[in-house]
Amino acid sequence: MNRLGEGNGKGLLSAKWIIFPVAIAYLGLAYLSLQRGNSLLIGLVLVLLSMIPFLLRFERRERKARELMLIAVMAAVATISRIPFATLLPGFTPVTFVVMISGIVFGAEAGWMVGAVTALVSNLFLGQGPWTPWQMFAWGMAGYTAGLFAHRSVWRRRRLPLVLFGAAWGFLFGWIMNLTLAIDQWVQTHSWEAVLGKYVLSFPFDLIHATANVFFVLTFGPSWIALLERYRRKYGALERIEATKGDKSSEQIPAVNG
Amino acid sequence: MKEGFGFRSLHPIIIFMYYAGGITFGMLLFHPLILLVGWVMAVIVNVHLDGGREWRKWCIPMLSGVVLIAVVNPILSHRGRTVLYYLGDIPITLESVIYGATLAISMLNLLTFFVTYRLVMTEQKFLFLFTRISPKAALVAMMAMGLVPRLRRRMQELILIQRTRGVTISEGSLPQRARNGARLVGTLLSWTLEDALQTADSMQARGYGTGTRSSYLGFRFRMRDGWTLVGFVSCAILLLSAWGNGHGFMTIYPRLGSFSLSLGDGLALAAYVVYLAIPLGWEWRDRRAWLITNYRR
Repeated sequence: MNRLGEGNGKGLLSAKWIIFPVAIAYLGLAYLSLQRGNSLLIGLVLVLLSMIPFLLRFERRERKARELMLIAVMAAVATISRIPFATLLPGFTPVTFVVMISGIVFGAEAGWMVGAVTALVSNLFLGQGPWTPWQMFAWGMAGYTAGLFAHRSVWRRRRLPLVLFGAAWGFLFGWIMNLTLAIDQWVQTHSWEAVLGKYVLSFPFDLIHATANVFFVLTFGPSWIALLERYRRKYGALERIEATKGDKSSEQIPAVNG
Repeated sequence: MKEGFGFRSLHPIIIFMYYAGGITFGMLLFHPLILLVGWVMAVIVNVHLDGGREWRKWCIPMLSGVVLIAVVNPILSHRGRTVLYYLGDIPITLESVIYGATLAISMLNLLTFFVTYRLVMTEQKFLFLFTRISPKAALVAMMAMGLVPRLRRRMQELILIQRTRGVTISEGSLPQRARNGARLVGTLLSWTLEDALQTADSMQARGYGTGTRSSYLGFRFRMRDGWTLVGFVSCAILLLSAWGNGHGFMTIYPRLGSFSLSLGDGLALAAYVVYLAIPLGWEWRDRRAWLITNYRR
């Protein structure tokens, strides 16, 4: 078990490869555990493994300090944005909205990073638990898909498509978070009714989440996109290749806000 | 009790292994008695590290979430032979009640165990570990964490100032309050972006990214880390072999098994407890050493 990297380039490489034997060992353990009727581990292992490709992609590119800082700021603001809404309805938070907007403006990879870091950091203050990897996955995917979604055409940055997208992620987020207990119900009873029951129980919360997303996109979506676009252009961070080739796509953004 | 004392003085890799292993074993074992003992151990570790201050802060939210799990399970799952009573049309079975309780204890155990993670795994140690695997992501996570307290102060300030303009989140209709809240967050964002990018330029000017990241604290793998590692590995081997032979979990479905621990269960329990207690050994040792050098000269 030589987990100690040597600190230079070679050590870095060897430290990275230790993931694979550990992952295989954990997959085996989780499979055995599942056979004995305990599904907690397999879900966590699979969710953690799903993050590896995103992390590798993020690490591969050269990043400027500004880009890293921008992502960190978005994640911190998303974390803090829970505070003023703590006195309103539970679950009515703009976190998903902030993550989505980051994905839309800064691209899919940055969106994933903002989502995952937000989940990790906000749980440091609200309580870590087995749900942290799931939240990292769910918010990370919300940011990633938002980036992919808005990448195709400028039209999709308008209010209506974003509202639909936000509503969809309000429900998807809840459904992903339910998976742990839903799989547990399935392993326990092998009945779809119990699994469905879990989803029915959580429906009101998902509805609140979706409503929150719709509300924030409707009232603040375009202005936030314009604000972040401005910072992206001003500081030249996380620039899209298309945006640098021809300035047409970036010129169209003020028109979208109107 | 600061860094360099007891549990906290161990190498980051050993600390990380302790938490990874503890959580894994907590999820593998599924027996209410074993998990309860594990929970007691987690509380003891908490008390040793900071007098249980952090743990007491989380107590109520943890308990309420866990009780919810225990209550919801028998309502959803109707498997099991022994029906306790009928809730309207829904049969509540003894087995699913016990399963829910065990799941709840397992969750409580994991949560209590993880409370100490924040106390022991400081930012320095986290960065030291993860800059080897994922340097940029680890840095982003740490920068975001560092920003949070500052942004929280700014948010309080903003809430105070904006109230004088009538932008408040405590009065008015729900949509109005939500709108005001989002306006506050928007202000906070533009405020923070301005100076955060200056920080980034300062980082760039000081040569960020020109070489591999070094750590201010030099973590050395010492003798005590080696001994702890040996202890961890032997406990893990013992526990996993007991687990692999079918011990350490209780049969609940279709008919509730016995609560009593077999020899193999006892072995798994002992290995689990010793595993959780190993870092406390260093706490005790250092405390004794401190007392001896200071008072009995």
